[in-house]
Amino acid sequence: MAEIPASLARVMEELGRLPGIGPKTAQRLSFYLLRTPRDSVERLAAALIEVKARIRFCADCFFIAEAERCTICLSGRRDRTLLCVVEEPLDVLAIERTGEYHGIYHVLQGALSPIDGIGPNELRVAELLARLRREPVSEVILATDPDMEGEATAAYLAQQVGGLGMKTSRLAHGLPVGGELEYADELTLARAFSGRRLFQ
Amino acid sequence: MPTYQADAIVLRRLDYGEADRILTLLTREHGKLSAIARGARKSQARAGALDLFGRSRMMLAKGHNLDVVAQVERRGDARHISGDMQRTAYACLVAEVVDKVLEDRHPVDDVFDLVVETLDRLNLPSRSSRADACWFLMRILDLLGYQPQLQDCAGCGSASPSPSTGEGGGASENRIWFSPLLGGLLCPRCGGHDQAGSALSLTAVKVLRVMQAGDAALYDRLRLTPELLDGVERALEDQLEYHLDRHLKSLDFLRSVRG
Repeated sequence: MAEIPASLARVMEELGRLPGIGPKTAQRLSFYLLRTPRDSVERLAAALIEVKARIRFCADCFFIAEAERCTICLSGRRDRTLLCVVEEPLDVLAIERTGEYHGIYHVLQGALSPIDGIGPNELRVAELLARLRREPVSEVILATDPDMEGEATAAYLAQQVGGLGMKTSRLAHGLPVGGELEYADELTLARAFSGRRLFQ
Repeated sequence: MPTYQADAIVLRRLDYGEADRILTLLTREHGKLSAIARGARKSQARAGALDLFGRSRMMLAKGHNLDVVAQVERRGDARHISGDMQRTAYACLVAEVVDKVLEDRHPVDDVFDLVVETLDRLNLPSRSSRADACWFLMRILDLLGYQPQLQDCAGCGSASPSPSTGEGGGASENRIWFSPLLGGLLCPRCGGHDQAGSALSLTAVKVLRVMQAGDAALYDRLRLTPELLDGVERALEDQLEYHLDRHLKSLDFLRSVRG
C-alpha cells in the first residue's frame, strides 16, 4: 500500500486539529494546498504567522487586539456606563454589525459547561467582577447564547453582579425577524409572549 | 437513505463545520447513539429541540459514518432547567453519567424512562434538584447492577454493620464506614482496613436505605439538609466513580460553584 509522505501527513495532522475539520476534510485541504502555487501557500503561511504574532486578547475586555487594549476599549466615543457580556470575540463582531450598541464589552472566552468541567475559574469571570468594581458601569447586559449553557452562564453572572449595585439585563428572546410564527418552537413562542412589549 | 424513528434526548452537543452539530442522543429504541444535525446552529425552528436535554421524536437517516437528523418533533421541554445554573448542572450530571455508562447502540432497560423522569423532576422549580439527582444516582446504580450493599457488612458479611465505638474502626462514633471498593457499608473491624471510603452518618445510611428500597413517596417526604445530602451524594458518587473508573466533571463543577 502506498504510504503518504511524512511532510504531507504532518500537514493533514495539523489541519485535522482545527475545529470542525475531520480527517477527510483535512486530506482534501492538504491536497488542495499541494496543487496551489507556491506564492499563495507562502502568503497563507505568512498570514498565519503574522496573526499569531500581532493579535492578542485585550487586557481589559478580552476581545481581539493588536495592542495591549482593543480599539473598542481605547475609543473615546463608547458609552462606558454600558457593558455587554458575550461568550466569544465573534459575538462582539455580530453585535457591532447591528450598529445599535455603543457601549463596551467583556468577552468571557466561553460559557459554563458542567459536563465539560468548565466552571467560572476557566472563564474571565473574576476579571469581569474586578472591572465592574473599578469602572463606572451602570448596566450590565448579559448577551450569552440563548442555549442551555448560555442561560446557565447568564444566571450565574446575574447572581454575581447582583451584589455590586448595578442594573443587570438579559438580551430579549423571541421570534426571528422574517420568520413564521407557525414554525417557531413552543419555548421560543412562550418566551416571545412573556417578553412582549407595548407599542410606543 | 433508509430512515428510522426514535424518541430521543440530547445528552451532548459538539459544533461541527460551518453550522452543523454532532449530537450524542439517548434513544428509547436504540440506546445511545451519535447523529449529525445539519445546519443546527442556524436553524431557529429546531434550536430548542436540539438543545441540551431537548426531548423529541426524531426521524434519523442512516448515514455513511454518522446517522443524520432528518426531522424533529418536540416532546416536552426543559424550560425551568434552562436559566437555573444548579438545575442545569444536575441535568448535566445525569447526561454525563448516562453518556459514560452506556455503550453505543446497546439500550439498557428502563434507562431512557429514568432519564425522562429525572429531567421532568429537575424541570419542576418546587423540587430540590440535588435530592432528585441523588435519587437518579441510586436508580442508575441499581439498573447497572452496582447497587451498594447497605444491609450486611460488604467486607465480612456480618449482619447490620453498627456504628463504630470509636476504637480502632475507620469511622468515628455514630458513623458507619462506606467503602466503594468493597461496594457498601463495613463493620467497625473491616472499616479499620479500608482507606478509600468515607464515614457516613446514621441518618445518611437510613436515607440511602429508603432510596435503595425505591420508596419515592417516602423519599420525597424526608427532610434532606445540605449536610445530609453531602454524605448521601458522596457515597453514591464514590460508588459510581469506582465502577466507572472515571471522574464526574459535573460534580466537580457543582462543588466549585457551591464553594
